[in-house]
Amino acid sequence: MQEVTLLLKRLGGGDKTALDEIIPLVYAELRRIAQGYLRRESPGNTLQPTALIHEAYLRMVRQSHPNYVSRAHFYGISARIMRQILVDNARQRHAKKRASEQTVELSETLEIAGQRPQEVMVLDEALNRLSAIDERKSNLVEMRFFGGMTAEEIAECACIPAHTVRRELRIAQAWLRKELSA
Amino acid sequence: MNPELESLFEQAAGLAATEREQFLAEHCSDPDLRREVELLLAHDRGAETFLQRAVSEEASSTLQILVFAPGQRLGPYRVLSVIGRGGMGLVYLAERADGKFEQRVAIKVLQSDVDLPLLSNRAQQECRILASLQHPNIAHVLDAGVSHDGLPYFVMEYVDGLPLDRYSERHHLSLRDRLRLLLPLCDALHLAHQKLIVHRDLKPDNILVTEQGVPKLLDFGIAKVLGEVPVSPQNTATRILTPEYASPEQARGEPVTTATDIYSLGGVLYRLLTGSAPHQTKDKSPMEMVRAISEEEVRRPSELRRELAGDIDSILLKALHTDPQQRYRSVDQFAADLESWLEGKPVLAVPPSLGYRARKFGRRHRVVLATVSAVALALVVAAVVSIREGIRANRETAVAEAVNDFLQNDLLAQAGSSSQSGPDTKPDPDLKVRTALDRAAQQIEGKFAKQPEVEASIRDTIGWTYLDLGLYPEARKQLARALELRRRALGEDNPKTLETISRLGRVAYLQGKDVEAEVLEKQALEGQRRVQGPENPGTLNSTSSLASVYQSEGKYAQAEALHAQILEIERRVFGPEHPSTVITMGNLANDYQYEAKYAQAEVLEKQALEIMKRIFGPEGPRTLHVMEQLTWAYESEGKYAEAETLQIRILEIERRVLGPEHPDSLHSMAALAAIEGDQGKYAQAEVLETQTLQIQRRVLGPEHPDTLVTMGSLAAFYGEQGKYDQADSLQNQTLEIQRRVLSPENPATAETVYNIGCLAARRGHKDRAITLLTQSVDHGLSPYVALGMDNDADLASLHGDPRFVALVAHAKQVAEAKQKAAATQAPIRH
Repeated sequence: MQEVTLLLKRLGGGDKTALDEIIPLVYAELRRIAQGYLRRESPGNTLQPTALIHEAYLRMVRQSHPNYVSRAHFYGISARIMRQILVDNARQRHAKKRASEQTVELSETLEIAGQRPQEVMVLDEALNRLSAIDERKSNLVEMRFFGGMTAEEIAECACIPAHTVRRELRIAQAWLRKELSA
Repeated sequence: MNPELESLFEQAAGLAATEREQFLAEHCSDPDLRREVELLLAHDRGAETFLQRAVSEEASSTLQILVFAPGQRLGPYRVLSVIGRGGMGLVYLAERADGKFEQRVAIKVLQSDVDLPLLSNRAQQECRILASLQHPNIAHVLDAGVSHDGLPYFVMEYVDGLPLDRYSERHHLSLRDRLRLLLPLCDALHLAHQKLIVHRDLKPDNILVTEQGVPKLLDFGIAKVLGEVPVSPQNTATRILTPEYASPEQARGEPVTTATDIYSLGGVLYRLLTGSAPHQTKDKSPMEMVRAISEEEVRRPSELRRELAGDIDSILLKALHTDPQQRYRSVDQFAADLESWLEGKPVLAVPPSLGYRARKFGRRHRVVLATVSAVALALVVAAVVSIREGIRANRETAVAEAVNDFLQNDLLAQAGSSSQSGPDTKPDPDLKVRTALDRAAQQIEGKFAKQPEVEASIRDTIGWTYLDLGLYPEARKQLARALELRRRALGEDNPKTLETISRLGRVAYLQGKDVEAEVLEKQALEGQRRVQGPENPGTLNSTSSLASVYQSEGKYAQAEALHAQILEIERRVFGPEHPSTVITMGNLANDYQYEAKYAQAEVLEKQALEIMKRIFGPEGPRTLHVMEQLTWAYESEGKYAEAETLQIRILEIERRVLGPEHPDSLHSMAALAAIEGDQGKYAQAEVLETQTLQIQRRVLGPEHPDTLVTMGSLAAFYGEQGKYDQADSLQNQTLEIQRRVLSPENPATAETVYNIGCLAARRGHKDRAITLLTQSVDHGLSPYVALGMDNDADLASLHGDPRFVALVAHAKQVAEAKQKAAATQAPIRH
């Protein structure tokens, strides 16, 4: 899979268009894993979607690029992909919900969880605004929530002390919540 | 972000909420900045959780949407939506993407932990066979393939309907309608079986009922195709696709046959009628599940819903038999029984007579006793001599004990009528053992004045030997002396003293003195449980004896509870093939039979018999006992010829090995008479029974329970030949004795009253009959008799009488309450 290697390089070099190309590849992997997860899922054993998407990404990268070592790069991209996937889906879902009265009937056992697609869309916009004032805080939030990373992991990736990460995250979270409730 | 804002926020956030205002007043003079800080502080609490939840909720939705992937293509089909999720994978609603046909289909995509290769050739071949299976009640398999990401899928006719159980609930279907719903399914299954296609995964979710009420079987044979996919050995549990409905052979991973579908269909019906699946698999590990499915009996449906008692119980238990051989031979046969039931005809699962008549020519089904000794002439003499020599030479008790041990274990035990007939040894036909024992008993007198313990042991052994020979008064005498000596020498709580108490209890039981026996056994058991614990072999022996007494007293629930408890301990402590374990199996089966749980009884008997023939030999007394129980089972099933052949064989062996007057031989004579009666050979039966009665009166005494049973049977044979006066007089004689010697509410007494009632009915004395029958129902009549009342030919003259209808209903109620009590009592605590 030369393709993935190339895409990762372009992403690393700051080429944002590479993201659009890499996401479909993650999807394919994701679908396979997701099906497996759903099958194994049992009551009381909650699904961890964040972990799942990471797994998908990880698998894809490992398959194509076994010697891929830059952890910071990896996690950063992983969080970015996650955010992109979720926002895309939320948008699609939102659009569909508004567009069609004849929503697809789902069996009682399979109701779609999370009936508020706007929330993530609004969060995405708020993050963009935060990025405009303070890009680093926006990245930290992305890693924390979309990447599912701990403060320590973020500290390691971003090469800043963990307590700084915590401090910056705290105010960023408050700021985002304020923006979202406005 | 403004560094000043950040700094103020950080410091204020570190303070308690009450101190923040003062802090800001002191450190922030800019009102805009201050408002901004205050706003952020207000949104600080819970911000993290808020964001986390927003993201993860979206992630969940995304994930599910990814999995449905509407618009995704599978071969020539386009996925429309997800319609279900099963153990094997997701089911999608789809349509032809190429517009060739306008047809909606259901696509089942299978998933597996391992990366799947392309469907194997064999699997593809299987799919072609499935595609050829066409029936209005089978969802047709149209196609199969592999998705681009390697997942195999099946395309099936789309059925718009509800799962069978939910359909029945939503439409509040009656019991009969639920049964009717199963008939077309049987027909479909029969067609498949003719083509040698087995469904393998029948369950309510795989049967959909359309709006028009047409049931359709889904997923036919797919389990097999899935079986072609390699499954890793660690994943053996995945072999059980739907454990609640899996057959025992499936659970064990054995080859699957059409009998498997019959089992699972029985399971579906069970669920439909009782509301629960035949096996509860919740919270069980795969190993526990396999064990439960392959070993545990299914709970009687009537225990869950009373109105199922009788034929439905029998039909379901036959379909759900753990042994595939014992199930319906074909799904057609199963359907025929359902139809018969719906039409009110007799069903196959319950043979026509059900031994109702057989019961009247009744017999007493003795509990098999775990007796251990008996002695041959030479050995007794040698033993007694050697004890004397031994005691003389060595004064120490320890040595005397050793000598006695030798006597008990090495000499006497070898000669016992029970242990004599191991697989390799021939029973000693010399029955003059008694003479030897009598002599030995006399010799003991005065010889061991200074060795009371030794004397007690010898007397105990000799007493036990008498007991084994059926010489109860002699046994009692020796055991009573032994008890006296042990009490004095060892004290009341000594294990040996307690053992002798229990043995005396057993003699009392064998002499038909149930009340005394119960007192003694309870006394022994109480001490043994306290001193030796519940799992000690001595304690188990007494528990077993008490259970026998309960059975004799008609306290079947208590007997069953104790036997089940013993069996559990013995299987665990001694192992499943230990003699004691196997004997207990036979005894528990006996309880089941009394409680009319025939299916359970027969399984257990056959299991026990198979082991017994091996460990006790084909002519061992215990083997014979269980063989006799089996004849009873045959009788209950109306297989009289088989019962007769078996019973004649037993009698022949017993007469040869034990002698013609041994209680067991007498017992077999009575049993044979009963079977002759079953077949209408009343005159012949009368002769045999008269003969039996004569010997029993002499050997056992005129008031012994066995003698009384024989009197009842003989009366029945008189009745059948129209000799009503003789019958009536004999029954009343029996009743008089029973009222005097048996415990109150004893089922045997109740049955005599019932039988006198039957005679009255036959003679057309309706009022008297109703009075007597009611009396019997209210005073201890066993469920076994009570549940068969409406089918009792003797009571034909009462049919149509509203009093009789009410009485039958009342009897059922009483009987079911008893069975229910038995069910709740079964898991007894120590």
